[in-house]
Amino acid sequence: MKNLRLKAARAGMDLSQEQLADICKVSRQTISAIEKGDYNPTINLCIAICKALNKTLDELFWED
Amino acid sequence: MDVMSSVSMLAGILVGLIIAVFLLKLLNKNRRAKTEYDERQEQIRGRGYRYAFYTMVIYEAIMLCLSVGGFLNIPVEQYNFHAAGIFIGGIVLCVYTIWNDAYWGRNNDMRRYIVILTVLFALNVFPVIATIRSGIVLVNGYWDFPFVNLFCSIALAILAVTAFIKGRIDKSAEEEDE
Repeated sequence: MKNLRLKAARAGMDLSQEQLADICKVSRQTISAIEKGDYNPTINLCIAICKALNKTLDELFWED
Repeated sequence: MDVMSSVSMLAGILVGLIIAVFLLKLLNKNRRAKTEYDERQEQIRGRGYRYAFYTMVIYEAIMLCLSVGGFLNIPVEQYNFHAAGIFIGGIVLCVYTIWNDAYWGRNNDMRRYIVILTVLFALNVFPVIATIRSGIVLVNGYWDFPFVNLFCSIALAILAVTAFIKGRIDKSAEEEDE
């Protein structure tokens, strides 16, 4: 399932996938795969993404 | 293969390995021999190594059957068949990881990578072309042909074609992503 909240939060901070990937120390393709729902990140990467985007885990990764 | 040829070939492999370590350091932006991959890439590479291993096992099993059955009556030195297996396994790993964006690590310098791979291709393809032009001769009942260089050239060419196609696909996908 696509993670549109992550994409929206990234766009809200005016960050490209490449920039977010650099902050989280992963490849751009990994961020792209998470947004597309092709890859389930580990909790460590989820936390790194949340910190980079100033969001909580619930806001970005919890499915209602 | 006589003793002198065996020793010189082993020395060549050893020198090649030492050069490979230096090249790896040169390939990475932080001058480290170890390439850094993220968690997704590590996962994909693990799967790639598994597929490469299965491919090599199947290849060796087929070659074993052909050898036992006496179907390998080609005038080629035996080590070339094993070398082909290693290259086939390597190709499987490379193509799978390139296709899943796990071949290049985060600290790889792409420009240096392309330059070094091009040089390696040229170094390997040169003896192949030179041998074909001068004509293949039989030495001690075997074809005197640089098969290992040929395998290496083919592997590098496949790698380049895969990377090119993947790059083209990614370019259009990138525009959609952003």
